[in-house]
Amino acid sequence: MKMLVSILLLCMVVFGALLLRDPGIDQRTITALSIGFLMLGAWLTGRLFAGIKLPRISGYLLFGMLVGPSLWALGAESLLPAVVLEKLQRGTPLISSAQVVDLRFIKYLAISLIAITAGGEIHLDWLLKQGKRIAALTLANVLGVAGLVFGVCWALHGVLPVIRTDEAMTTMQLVIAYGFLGLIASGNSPSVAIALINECRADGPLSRTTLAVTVCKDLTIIVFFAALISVGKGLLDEQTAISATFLLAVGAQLGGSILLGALLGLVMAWFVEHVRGHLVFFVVVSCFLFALLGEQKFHMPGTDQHIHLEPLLMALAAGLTMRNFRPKRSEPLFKTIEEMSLPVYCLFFAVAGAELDLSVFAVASAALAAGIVVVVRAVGVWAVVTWTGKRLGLEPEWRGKLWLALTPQAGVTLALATLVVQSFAGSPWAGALGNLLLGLVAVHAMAGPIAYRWALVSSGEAGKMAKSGSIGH
Amino acid sequence: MRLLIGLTILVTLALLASSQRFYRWRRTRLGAALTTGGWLMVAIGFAVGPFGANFVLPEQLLEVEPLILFCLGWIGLMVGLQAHRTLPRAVPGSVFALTGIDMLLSVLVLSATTLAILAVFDVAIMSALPVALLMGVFGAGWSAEVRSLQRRVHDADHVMPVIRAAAGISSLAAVAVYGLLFKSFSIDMLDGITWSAWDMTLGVMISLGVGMTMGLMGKWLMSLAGRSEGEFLVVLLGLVTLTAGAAATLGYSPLLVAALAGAIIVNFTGKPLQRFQRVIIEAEQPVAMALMLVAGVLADPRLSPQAVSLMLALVIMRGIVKLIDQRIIRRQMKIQHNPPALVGLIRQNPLAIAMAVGYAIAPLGRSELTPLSGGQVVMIVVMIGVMAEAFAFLQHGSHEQPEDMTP
Repeated sequence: MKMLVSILLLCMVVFGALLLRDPGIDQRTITALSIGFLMLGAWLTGRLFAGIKLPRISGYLLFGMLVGPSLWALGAESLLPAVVLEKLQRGTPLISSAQVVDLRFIKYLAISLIAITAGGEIHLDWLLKQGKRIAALTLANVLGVAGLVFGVCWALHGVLPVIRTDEAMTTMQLVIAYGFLGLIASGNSPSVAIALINECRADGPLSRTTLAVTVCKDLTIIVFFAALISVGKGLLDEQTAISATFLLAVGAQLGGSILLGALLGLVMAWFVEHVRGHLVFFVVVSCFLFALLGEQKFHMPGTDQHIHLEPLLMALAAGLTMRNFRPKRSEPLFKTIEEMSLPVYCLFFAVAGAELDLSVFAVASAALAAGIVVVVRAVGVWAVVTWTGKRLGLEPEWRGKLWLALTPQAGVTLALATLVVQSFAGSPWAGALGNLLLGLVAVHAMAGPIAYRWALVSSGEAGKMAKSGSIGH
Repeated sequence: MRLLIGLTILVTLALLASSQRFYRWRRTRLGAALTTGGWLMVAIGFAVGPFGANFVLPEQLLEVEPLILFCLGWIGLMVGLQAHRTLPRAVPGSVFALTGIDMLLSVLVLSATTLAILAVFDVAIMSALPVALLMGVFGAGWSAEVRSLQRRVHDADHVMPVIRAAAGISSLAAVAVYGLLFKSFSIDMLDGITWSAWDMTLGVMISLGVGMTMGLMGKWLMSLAGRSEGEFLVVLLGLVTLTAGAAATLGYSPLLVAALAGAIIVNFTGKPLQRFQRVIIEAEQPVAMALMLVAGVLADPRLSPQAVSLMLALVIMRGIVKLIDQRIIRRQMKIQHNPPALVGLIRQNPLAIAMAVGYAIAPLGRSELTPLSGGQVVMIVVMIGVMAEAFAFLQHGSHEQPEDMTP
């Protein structure tokens, strides 16, 4: 009850500030208000969720979703009186679409911070020992789930098209569109994985395997995705040939990100050892640096290609390098990051929630199509994990729960969905596919953490993390 | 790419600033003079800004306006935390009298000087009034940092607490007056700059209302957070950002509203208060550093003859006001000669930079209807501060230094 009252009070304060806002101020000024509102509101909702044995991050996401622009667009505004609406036109809803765009900057910072943590949780010796298992699970998941979603949607297209367009799609368009759908549907969320492991203080084979598979899946999907974009553009656009240099650029992008990230990890460890003070400031500036590096374009010599570095990969590599090659030097940094993690998670997942697009659920046929993909994906993940798990000889105590741990989706999937829409902006199917994918992420972002938390608790791994805060230690 | 290079330079400089060698240099007289007021950070900000290497542009800084507002909110909260209910009993009445006289003299003398100089250059009184009043507030008070003076001057130990206490109270007063002026003036393309008593009254009422609401909310949320460090950090960061953001959204001063919230927290919060104060004070240096950097980037050195004349006149007039303050202290404490520590009164209150940054990013500071742009106001405040610091450095250096120089 205390939480609900606090959330309502907070919403009223922000609502009042927006109603009485000074007409002379610009959008960016309101962003500060939004940041504070999202952080506190998400935290309170998370506590509310924790009270009913649900993951806190589902609370953070739900709060973002409730105050974000998507739900407003679906008709929430009809609940307010006309006079208030008229006043609010300058700032609807509590978090507007423009603010969500402004808040992306915060999101990039948070992604870097979460990725450093995720990298710091990966122990190379354990990973090398489990290499075969992880590789097999990763590939089986990506290929199996993507294949199943692709196959079912393709087969159903004549009867119940999952991607609906005004004009009929060519076979090639269908292949490419469903290819993207399958590939992106097979993805997971490393940020959700790391946040939930931290929240549940979980450690054990399920937590470690989930984290490693999730990160490796992300890398694999990014590679396949880049290749599919290149092939897709070559096949659908007569003016764009499939180019080997494009694939080379993708390789350089991934390799460059990992190498630079590892190098920055060493620099950060050196810095921490020599500076020791103001680590919070240092962490924020470092994450800002990762985010900024990700926005730069670098020309690849001898080609017409430009590459841009992946902040997620860089930060991941930096965390992994620090934890595995400079463990003692970097310990204070990981401790600082752990202390900062709760505000970051609250803000990051609330912004992710505000970004989710629920418009697909407003149309019955689209909602049905999304429902079909959700079911097919769930069956696919369950079947693939069960089958591969048996073949690999995974312990039965946690094997049956692994598929639940591989259901959440969030940030990376959202980014890939946006990229597809941008890359094929002229195609009639891109918008429909984008909406469908955003709807899928909304479902998996909300339901996934609940399933994952249940898996961690029922496997007995929750609460097993040592006080140092690192898995496996 | 330029921003990236700029940031890399800043990180490298921060690295150098954290080295043992730099730490030793900070303990020298020159090092202390440059670093205690944050002038080195202002210089670095200026060096990477549009009038230096052009790595960071003011427009890019405004992209991170929420971060600047957060810093202002933090500073405001820190100032407000000084307003404990025991303050009137803990501090002698003479200190309050000194602060009151200094504030009154500063606002009257410096505002009149600004109005007079701008009138010479044919600026209408109404256009000049907001800048004039703000210049008066910026000139009030002095730096609360007295350690660098205390190390060398044992005979002035009894003056130090007075300087420090008066600096703290004058910060509270400056934030209050600044907040009062913040919303009293409105800009309209047709009517120009107008002043309204109603807007000022409403501004005070709303600032009080928002500050009190935020303070009470902070107290309530802190009790919910309990002993968890992570949850406490969420409350602290969320509260500062929400308070500063709400004030800026409504068009009021984030410094004043946050200070009011701080005053409520310090007077009504029980056990968690110590932790709250500790975290707030621990982060003072990085927050101040960030604001000084921002000031350096925002500072616009393209000063017109009217701005240069104004700056020089303000330096002189502020010096005269501080001489009067020195006399008041001597009379209050019955001291025959000026103890060297009283030189500290000349040094500018670092809060003036925070207030100038707050003005520069507010609609009034960005308006073309004012005679000085926000960037020029920041530049003038920085220059007055630097000149005051240099004067204090030379004055203090001219006194005999019989004490051991080693820390």
